[in-house]
Amino acid sequence: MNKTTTVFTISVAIIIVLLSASATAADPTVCCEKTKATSKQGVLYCQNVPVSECDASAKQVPTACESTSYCKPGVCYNSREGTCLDNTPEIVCNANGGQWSATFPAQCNLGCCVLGDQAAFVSLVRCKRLSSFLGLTTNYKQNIQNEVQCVLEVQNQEKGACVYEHEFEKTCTFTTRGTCTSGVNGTSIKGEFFGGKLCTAEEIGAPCAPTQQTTCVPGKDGVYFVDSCGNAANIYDASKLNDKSYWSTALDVSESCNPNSYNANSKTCGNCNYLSGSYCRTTTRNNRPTYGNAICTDLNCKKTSNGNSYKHGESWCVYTDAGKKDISDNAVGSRFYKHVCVNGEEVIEQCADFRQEECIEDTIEIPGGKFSQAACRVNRWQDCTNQGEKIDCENTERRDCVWKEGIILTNASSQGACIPKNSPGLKFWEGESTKAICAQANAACIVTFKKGVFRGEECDQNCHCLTEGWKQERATVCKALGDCGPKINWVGQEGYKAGFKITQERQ
Amino acid sequence: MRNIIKENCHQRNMSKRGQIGLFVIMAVVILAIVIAFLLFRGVKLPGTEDTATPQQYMSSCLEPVIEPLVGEIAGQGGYTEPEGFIVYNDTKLPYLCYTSEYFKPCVIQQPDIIGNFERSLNSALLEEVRRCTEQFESEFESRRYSVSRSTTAVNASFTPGKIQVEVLAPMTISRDVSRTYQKFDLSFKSEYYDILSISTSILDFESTYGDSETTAYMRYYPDVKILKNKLSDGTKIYTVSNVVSGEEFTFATRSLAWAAGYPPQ
Repeated sequence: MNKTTTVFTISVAIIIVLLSASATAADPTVCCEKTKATSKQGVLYCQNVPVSECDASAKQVPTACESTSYCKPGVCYNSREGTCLDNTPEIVCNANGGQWSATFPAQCNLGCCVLGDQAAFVSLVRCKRLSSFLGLTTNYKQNIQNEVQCVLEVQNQEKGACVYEHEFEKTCTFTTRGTCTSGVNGTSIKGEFFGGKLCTAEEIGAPCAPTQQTTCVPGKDGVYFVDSCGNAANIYDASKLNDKSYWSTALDVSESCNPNSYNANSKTCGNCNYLSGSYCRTTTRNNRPTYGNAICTDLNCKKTSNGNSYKHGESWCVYTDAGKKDISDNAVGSRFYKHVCVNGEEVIEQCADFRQEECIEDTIEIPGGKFSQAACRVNRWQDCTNQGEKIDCENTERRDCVWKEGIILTNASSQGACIPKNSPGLKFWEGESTKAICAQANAACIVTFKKGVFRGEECDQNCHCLTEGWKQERATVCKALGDCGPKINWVGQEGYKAGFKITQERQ
Repeated sequence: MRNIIKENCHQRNMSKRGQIGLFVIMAVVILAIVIAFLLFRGVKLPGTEDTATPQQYMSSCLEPVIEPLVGEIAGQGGYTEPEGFIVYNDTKLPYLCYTSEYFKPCVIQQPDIIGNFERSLNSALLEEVRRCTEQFESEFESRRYSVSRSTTAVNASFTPGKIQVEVLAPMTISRDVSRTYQKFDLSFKSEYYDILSISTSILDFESTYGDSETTAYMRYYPDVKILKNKLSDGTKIYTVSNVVSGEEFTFATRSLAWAAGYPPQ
């Protein structure tokens, strides 16, 4: 049998239209103390920019700013507020009245600042500033070296009624034992302390009486009754207005009305629970409580854009653009979104454009249900196509890729292809880089034909390359690499061209 | 004995004379207070038929302008004329932290957000304060008082829950008696101190880690809402606001920006 072989080469190439590919002349980068003023950006300080963008009168050296003396980043200390900011150039710090130092100065060391029954882990000067705002004497504990310990320090403070004399009159304030015995309201006046008692307790003899007024207390969730001396008493409970014992001893929130409910919009109970989604706020006219003008406002979000309800502070991922996420089929211009429920409002936060960030979410179990948390995280697609083994490709600690068995990329020699799980967006309208990325999907398939004596040509090897399935498979690989090939855009529209080209050559 | 009585009578006369002197002094003081009260009580509050003290006059004159003025400056990141900025929705938003590079945290451009806002507010308020003192002067002069003034200055500062404005406007008002004022201390309700402190903290995260976790702030501070709008070039537009007072502060950063495609070599 006379046998001849005919070879066809079928190749798939991606059409990329490059609108601009103008090469720029070499413009060395300098550390520029002050950039040229432009109408688009104004003046910026200490930037590594091309020499043409640097103000001629400003200092400039062809090296990175970290290596220069004039733009070296350091710590800027604000002596008025007692705050420190890292990564600040000296020129910027000094121009704004700060004190610059290359290393972390001693003034920026943190300690525990006790502010009555609250605490802040701040610098000493910051502590003095916060104490002066609150009219308290500075109580700074340098030996406490972490925030948790600092918070615990104030949680264990005993609180109660502090009876003292002010301008020849007896009065009372509800405060901590320490404040009462060391000096009330930042003064040197010392009072008599009654632990666990309210100023309205008859037995302490203070001139404070119960009222129908309520208030929100800074740092606390609930609505509180107010006595005639202006002190916050126990949590607002309409049924306890005339209960002498309720106005005598300070009660914990767990001992107050409806402790297992978050009491949103309750007219009679002010036991709000911030973690469950209610918080004390001054009321509007159409939602007034029985007494006072503060109420537990509902902060949770009902029926959000995805139809679900979320608690205040919960966040979740949304991907509503055309295309599909996590299967290497993202649309051009699509991106991930994080939604957050804040004060009853659904707030949208985009993840980085060009799908350089993707949204991840998880839920944790909390008393009374689940709590969803989402975050925008870097899309680690960059080295997917370099992976030749499935195990390396699917190593989620290192990268965000998927393994496609039986597909070969141009420069790979393995039995599969590792492609981005979420294909990155590309600036296909400028530069040459898109061409290089998309070209990785180019493939040449050599199909061998047999010519029989009595029959015509018959496919012998790589016959699958002639099928529609092979074309689709190559298009899938092409699309997975980025904004390449026959893609749709984020509103679902197809491109004006096919996005790939198949050529056949006979040898 | 007689001498002693005489001495006592003399002392009594002296005491009586002293008492009369004291009464005269008290009468003069009371008269001065009454004249001063009559003299200064009748200043018309701007835009109303009510009367007020000079302190109240200044406060009511500045109150309608301070809120929009602060809001306008806050809408431009604490600047009246930002130096380094991005034009966003036709507004110049200052880059408080910026890097022109990719994959690097930003370099602080404004380390003292509160102080810078105060300086901007002072220069913007000065014009309004001058207008108020001129109005004040003409109001008195129309009532045939003579008013002498020297240079006006203003010193605004943010503190928790308020904006304190110290108007340094030394002036003497005289007709039958004179009265001198050195300054007026005014206070306006505002939550900007907390908003600016949170913005400073966001900058700290941006310059150290390249991004900030806004959800954490919103959960920690019940009244705070933060919007973060990420633009294609890596710029982030932050709007930090207080949901109760409605006050907003907007600024831009560019930090840890990701280039489209592969990292440039």
